[in-house]
Amino acid sequence: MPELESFPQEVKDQLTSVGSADVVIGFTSFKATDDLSWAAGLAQDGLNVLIAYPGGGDVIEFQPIAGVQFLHYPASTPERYLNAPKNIFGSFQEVLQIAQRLASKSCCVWNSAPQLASADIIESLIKPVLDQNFDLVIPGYTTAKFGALINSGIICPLTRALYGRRIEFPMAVDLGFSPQLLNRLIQVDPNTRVPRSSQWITTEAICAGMQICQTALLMEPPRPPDSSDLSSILAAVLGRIFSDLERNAAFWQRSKGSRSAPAFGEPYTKEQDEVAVDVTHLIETFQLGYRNLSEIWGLALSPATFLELKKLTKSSTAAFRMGDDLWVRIVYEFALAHRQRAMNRDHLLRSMTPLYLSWVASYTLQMLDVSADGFHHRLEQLALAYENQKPYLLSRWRWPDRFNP
Amino acid sequence: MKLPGSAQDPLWFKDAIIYELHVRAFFDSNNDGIGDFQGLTQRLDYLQDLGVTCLWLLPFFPSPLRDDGYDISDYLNVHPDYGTLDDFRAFLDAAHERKMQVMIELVINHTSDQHPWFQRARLAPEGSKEREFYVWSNSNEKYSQARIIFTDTEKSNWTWDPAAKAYYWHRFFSHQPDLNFDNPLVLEEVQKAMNYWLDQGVDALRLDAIPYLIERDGTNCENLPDTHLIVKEIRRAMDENHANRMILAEANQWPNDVRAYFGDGDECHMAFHFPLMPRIFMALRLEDRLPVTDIIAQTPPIPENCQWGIFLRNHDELTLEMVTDDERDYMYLAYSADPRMRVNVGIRRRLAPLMENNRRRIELLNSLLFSFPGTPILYYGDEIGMGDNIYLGDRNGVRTPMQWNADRNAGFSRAIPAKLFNPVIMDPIYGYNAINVEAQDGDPSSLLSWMRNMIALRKIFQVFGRGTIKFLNPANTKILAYLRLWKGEAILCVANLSRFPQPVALCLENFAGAKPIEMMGYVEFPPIGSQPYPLSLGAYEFLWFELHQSKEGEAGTPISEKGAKYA
Amino acid sequence: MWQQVSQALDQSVTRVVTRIALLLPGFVALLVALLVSWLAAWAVGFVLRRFLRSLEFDRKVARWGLPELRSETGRSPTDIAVRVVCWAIVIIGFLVGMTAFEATLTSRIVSQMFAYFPNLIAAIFVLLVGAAAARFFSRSVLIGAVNLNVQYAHLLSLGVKWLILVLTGAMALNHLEIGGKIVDEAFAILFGGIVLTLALAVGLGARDLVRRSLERQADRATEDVETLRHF
Repeated sequence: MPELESFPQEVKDQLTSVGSADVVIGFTSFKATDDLSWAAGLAQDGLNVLIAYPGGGDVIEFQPIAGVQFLHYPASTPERYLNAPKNIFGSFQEVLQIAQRLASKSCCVWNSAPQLASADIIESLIKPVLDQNFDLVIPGYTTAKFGALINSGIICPLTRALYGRRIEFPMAVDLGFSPQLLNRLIQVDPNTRVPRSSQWITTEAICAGMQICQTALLMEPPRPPDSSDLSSILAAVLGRIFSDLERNAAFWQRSKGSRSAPAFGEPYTKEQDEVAVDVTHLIETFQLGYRNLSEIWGLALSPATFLELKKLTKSSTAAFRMGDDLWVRIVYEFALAHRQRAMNRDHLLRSMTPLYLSWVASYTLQMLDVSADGFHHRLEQLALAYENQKPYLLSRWRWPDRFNP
Repeated sequence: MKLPGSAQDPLWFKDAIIYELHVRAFFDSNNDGIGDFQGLTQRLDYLQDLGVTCLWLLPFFPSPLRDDGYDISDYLNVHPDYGTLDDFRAFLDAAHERKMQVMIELVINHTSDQHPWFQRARLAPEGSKEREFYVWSNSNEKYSQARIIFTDTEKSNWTWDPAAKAYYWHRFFSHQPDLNFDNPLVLEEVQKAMNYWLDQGVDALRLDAIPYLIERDGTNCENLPDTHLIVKEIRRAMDENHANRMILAEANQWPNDVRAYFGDGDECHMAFHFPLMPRIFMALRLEDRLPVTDIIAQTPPIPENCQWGIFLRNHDELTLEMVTDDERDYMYLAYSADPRMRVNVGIRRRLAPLMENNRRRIELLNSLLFSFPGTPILYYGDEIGMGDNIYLGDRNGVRTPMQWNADRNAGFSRAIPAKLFNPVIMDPIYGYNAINVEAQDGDPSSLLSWMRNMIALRKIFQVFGRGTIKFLNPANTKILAYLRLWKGEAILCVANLSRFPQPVALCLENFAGAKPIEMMGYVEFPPIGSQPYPLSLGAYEFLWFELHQSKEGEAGTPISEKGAKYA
Repeated sequence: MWQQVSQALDQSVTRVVTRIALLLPGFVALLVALLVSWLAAWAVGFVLRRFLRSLEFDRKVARWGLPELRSETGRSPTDIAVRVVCWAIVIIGFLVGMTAFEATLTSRIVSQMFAYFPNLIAAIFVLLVGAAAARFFSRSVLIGAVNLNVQYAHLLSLGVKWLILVLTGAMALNHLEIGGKIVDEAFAILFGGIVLTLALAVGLGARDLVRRSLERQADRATEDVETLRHF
């Protein structure tokens, strides 16, 4: 990652001439045709706004907007702004460094497609920092019962159970930062020797005791590039979560219960009543996984969990149900195996794909006739299962022993 | 000349501590690589020090040894590899001098195909009394409902014999044809063999595989009524001529089916409680007492003069025949991740490797063995925590030479290692350098010392062998708590099945006023009141308490549970 | 005549004794070399073991993706490394001793052995790397194929494993200069056979995969049918 000192001279000169900015908005991908005229709305309250966009070719000539300046900065990989595959967790370091350099009062990093940004949306990410002294503003994207399943099934309830915060999208990639938080994120973590900004931002903020809030955005969660396969995404997400568990073990082992992060705006749940979903393919993958990956799963899963899976393979499609307790134990046992390095970590995480798909199949069958309210209730049940099983994770984390039920 | 046994009490087996060993694996005195009776005799002092009171010898008769001696070719002799009849007699006398009883095998369900009876039968004309010593058929369709027991090696219970030009019946290996107990001459011969050994002074007989004695079409050929008639006859003949002897039934069946082998106190004196054993392992792994309490609840009462034989491991695989399919799957997953550890319908590992060499778990399971109702049966080597070798075929991995010291061949033999009947265990954890009698003998913290102490403690209290059991059911299912009661004695046993400390509150209001005295250190605990009695137990901890009612001016006296019934 | 007999005997005894006397120093030198090399191996092993432990060598090996090494061999990577080094020292000591024992004959053998030694090391290295690679890649293929719902996942994985093992074996034999042309041809046959089998398996197995992929693309084109979204 290029450090600020390694920026080209003209960029450094421009930063010097800008001097300071109240708000820095950083895009991590950009095309010349992207429209930023909405930025005028941000400067109307007298704020001094700087929009940073990744450059690599010619500098783009924008229409002048009062109170808004533009800065192109060198991206760590030139292809990033050319619709090439992105880091699904977003990248923040350059924008944060620029915001720190300009002593900004609030910084917003936008990793989604630039055409989805608008004045209202960006404002909702920076206003809680400016007006109410929050350190991290996380978007609450539009939810749907069959959308963002990895988030519903793993990320959100696990964050709640282990880190004690109820956040809808803990791995959101469009975020608002305070100066305190961005100063912390720019620093290198002495344990991992990488900048904290390349680690899981939400848990960094939670463990540092920062103030976190959520803001409802009327947009769907960003999709990963089409070329990414589920197995890679799942392995990347789980890898990040499990690595984080190791790093923050001292924190999550002592947190108790959970509390909501304050939320602004009305969250929106998309109705998905007229949905036809065929889960046969998912169940087949699970059964194929059971037949072929048992040796690998056996390194992670306890005998009792394995036995439950064996019974599940014999279920008919209509009766295919994976209980919440079983799913949560699977996630926790893989976290333990990841920590114990029972095998190559990438293999371990990828081998979890059929298990995840079995959960998706079971969840989908349960949710087919369920309304939006029922959907939230269902997620609440799952989150409680994660919380209730936390002592199980704790006991096995503290006392690694193969002799488990 | 008939020699008496060494026991004076007809119910001696209720107080016994039985030690199962194989002569050929114990000690080799003539350095041919195979243990023998002279070697065993030399090691009787060790067994006496250990505190065991009855030695169960695996088959030592002449045999082609294709099933480790259970394929007998001569019932009335000793295999030359193990010595002579005189050696056996000398051993028996030496054991009796030390007040130890001796139990031998009486394998009557089948013989080796090399036995003269079978060699005669296959050439004898059809229908003749020689032929009818075994079970023959012209087709292999008969008794089709009988299950195959050795599923790994046998595809059928019938095998074609080209000399006899007929199929012969065998419930085990094909080289072990079943005797035909519908032929009265068979029972006569069996009784001759039985009397021969009882006359020598042998104290007990283990009847191997007795559920399978009789076959009838349309049945599963197990536990048939006529089988019990045979057993009753054997028992009657024994009682008539030999006092204070014992018959132990090997009937791997559900408790209700095993109950029948006690008869009305006129069949076997003892029977193994097979279904209890895997459930002890299951309860430990699940950290839940339910498998144990459940099976004991299903165990019917037995006649006063009878006894269950309880064990953790033996020379066979840890059998999973008497469990449900789910329980079997769980046990395979929990205790035998490597398929090489499995044989037939069981797991061929010793106690220590099953417990992953965790001392606390080993002690906990042994504490259950010594405090559950029944006579405990120890398997040789488990008192020092011997390991196994899963790469040896069949069940030989748990039948390796006894590890006496760190010398060559574990001190078992001075022969060159290649001559040993089975290789010694050599890995860094269970190998003879690490695990041996000599090293543990002088170490008061060793497992061997612990076992000695526990056996000695158990022998002081007859309640363990003769009393009833009553389970307490505290809310914490990781705690197994029970009372052992007999003639005014009350012992409270509490075991933590979990690897983490556990709290428990026991409802002991019937013993209000009593003072629990922890039995190992004779430590007084606070008296029992009307409220639930709180205890905390560490990981895999177990506690035994004598419950004493102490009145002022009186030494603590044992008490009875108010309203309880006793044996 | 007896005089001549006794003379002949005297001469032969003298020859034999002289011969023994000539060989004796060499023999003693061999024993000394063995003893010294054994002591050196013990000392080096002791130091090396402490060094590797201080480096947390076992943990690092596990992190490099080889945690199975201990479960496969029953020994930790530190143990294996120490043993290899110790035995190498002992073997070198033995060769030194052999050279001292009989300078002319054995030095030829010894120099040939020393010349062969790098090939042996290379072959062992190739085998170790190949075995690890076979296991790693076969597992990668297995997991990947299962995740793509390829029914022949196990066969594919087995094929990849044997492909790499056969390749590794052929390379090792080549380094050892064993077999020559026969090994090359056998390798070509085996390798070709495995590749053909895999091609058939993939070809047959991938039909479903391609069909499903096309169906999925067609589904995406239809706007009124929603699908599950994982992210």
